[in-house]
Amino acid sequence: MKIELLFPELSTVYGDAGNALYLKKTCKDAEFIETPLQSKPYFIDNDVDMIYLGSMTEKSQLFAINALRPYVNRIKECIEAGVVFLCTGNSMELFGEYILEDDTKWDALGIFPFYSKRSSEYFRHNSMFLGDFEDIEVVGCRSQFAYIYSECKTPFMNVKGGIGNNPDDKFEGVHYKNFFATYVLGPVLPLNPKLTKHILSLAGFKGEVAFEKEAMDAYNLRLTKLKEEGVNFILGEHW
Amino acid sequence: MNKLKFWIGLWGGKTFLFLWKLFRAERDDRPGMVSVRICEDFLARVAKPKLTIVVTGTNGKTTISNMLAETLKKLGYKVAYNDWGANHNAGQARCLLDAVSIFNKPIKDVAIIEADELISPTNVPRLKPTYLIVNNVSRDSMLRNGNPEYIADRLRRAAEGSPESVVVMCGDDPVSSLIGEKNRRVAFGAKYLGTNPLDTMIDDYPVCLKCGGKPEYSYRNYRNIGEYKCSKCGFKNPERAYLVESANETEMVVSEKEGKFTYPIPNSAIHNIYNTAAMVSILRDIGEKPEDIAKALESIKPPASREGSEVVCGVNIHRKLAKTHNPTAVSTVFENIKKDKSQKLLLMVLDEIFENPKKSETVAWFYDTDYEFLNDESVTKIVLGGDRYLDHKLRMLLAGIDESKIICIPKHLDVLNYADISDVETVYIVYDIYTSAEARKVTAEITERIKKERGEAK
Repeated sequence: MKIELLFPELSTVYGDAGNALYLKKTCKDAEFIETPLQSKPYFIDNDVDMIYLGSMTEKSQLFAINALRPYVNRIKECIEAGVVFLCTGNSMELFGEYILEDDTKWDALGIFPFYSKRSSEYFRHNSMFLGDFEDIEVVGCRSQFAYIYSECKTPFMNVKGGIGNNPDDKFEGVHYKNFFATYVLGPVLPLNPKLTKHILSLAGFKGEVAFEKEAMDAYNLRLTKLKEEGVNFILGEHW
Repeated sequence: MNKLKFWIGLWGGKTFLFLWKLFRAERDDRPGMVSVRICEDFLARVAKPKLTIVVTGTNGKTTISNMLAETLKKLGYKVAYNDWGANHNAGQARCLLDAVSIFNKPIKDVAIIEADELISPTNVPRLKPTYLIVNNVSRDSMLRNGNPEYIADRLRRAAEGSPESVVVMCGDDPVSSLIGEKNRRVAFGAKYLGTNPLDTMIDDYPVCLKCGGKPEYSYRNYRNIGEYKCSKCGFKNPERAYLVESANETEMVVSEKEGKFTYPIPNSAIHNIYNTAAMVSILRDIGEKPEDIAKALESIKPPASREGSEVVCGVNIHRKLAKTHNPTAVSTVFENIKKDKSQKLLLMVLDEIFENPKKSETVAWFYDTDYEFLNDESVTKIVLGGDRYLDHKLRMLLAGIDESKIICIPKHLDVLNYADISDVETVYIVYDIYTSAEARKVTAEITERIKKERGEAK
């Protein structure tokens, strides 16, 4: 099993490093390829089972788009072939049509039919999240400057608590074949052992996730708390 | 109309300030709040002393403001400043109310104004300070501050909005280096000071901010603070006009265009060296002589810390403040714990308590924080109490800490039930601002136990 961690040095701003850590602790026999921004991604010339990309700064988003733009066709080919992609936080925005900030527009990779929009004043949305993916309940948090807007027919999750791709959307993320992208950020995998098992099974992994009992205990407690009456999912906005 | 509002705001604020001082409650922002409520652009309209210094950046704002104010006083200046970290509109207005007469004429030589990073793009252009000090920009709570580049961008806009201000900035901090590129800048920095920083997962400068190239370091004094150069575009430290060449426990040597000069420092902690370098830079730039600065700095100490250490019957007890949601702050505490090689018991009361307990739910910061530093032979036991106890436990296990060393429980004060002090050389009590009261109780109880057990044994 080969897992490529794409631009891991960029994906450390909002706790997303926890996903790479959890993958390494869970898939002990897997080969991990860590590709920095300045290098050609491994999956361009080689087969991989899974690619992970996490949250990054707004400037890093543009660097990452430029680094991946020459390989858009190969990315599409991998997605169609069923390679597992997991993109957390604002890395999802890379795969849309463009990123808009006031009158400035940056072309993104154009793989999925959505765009993201943020204000130059950068209002920051913070919230907790509870959603459903198939029969799996997903928990987590959101913290972001932008929202995505789309006619995307294949969202990742139905929203049960918090917001969707934008405040008016009841669907969250993008899911197409084995491509999973979500605005939920930080340690999505360690916080969601059931989801981790499911996603990793698509990449060919069988077995327990790391510290499964402890992860399930924490997951169940969080789930219980998030389902309590009167939970305020929105943590506030800052500018 | 605006003029009238200003005068009402000034006199209203002055009146409240007079009354507050009368009742010995002068360490309060409310007189300033009166002024800014009445006159929205009070900060722009109120007169400023000839030397107005705004201090901003992620860490060290209050420390630098206080130490600089005390130093300037010793140098003979009349100084207006707040020493309680009031860094929003009301606090800044409160400071300036002290600096002007009822006729809006400056009555102080200097105003030192602390500024929160987020409000800086609005307030710095209003204040138009003579100097803008940016001590550093590093990651803080993601909920409030997003990421360091976002903060640097806000400070860049602040400096651009006040083009006459001289920006005094840490030239060893690549993220700060983007601030004030169009202003006159005075950069300070330090050669490698033997800090021997541990490898950390926190890197606020993973790629060059200009081109995305890979930064290369000649050295780092801590994290991404050091001498850097982009391997692709050559972006590197600005010329550091004031460079700390060496430091020991009590003094540091700074080189500048007029030579090398020695200045006292409060202690050899790296952040105190950088803080002092920032102060020396500004004092030299306004024309103060090195020997006068050195003399003034002799008795200057950082503000009293909310932390504390004591030795009780041979056991070291350290209280360490670790601001939760701020991975830099918590990792720094964990790093210091690792560097202390005595046998340690850690008692952690970290999770803040809000009226709405759901508010502290976000645990993303756990995974930006170096829990790996606690995976050390010298750490014999970690007892943690708080609502996120199961998340902490999972994070510690993922950091490789042996499960037998970990006890995580939901209630803060229950850590006392599991605190076995036999054979320990050192006890660390790690806490958050919001759990200060619990930390004090834990400290008091542990101190009593040690006195009882070790004292009797003695």
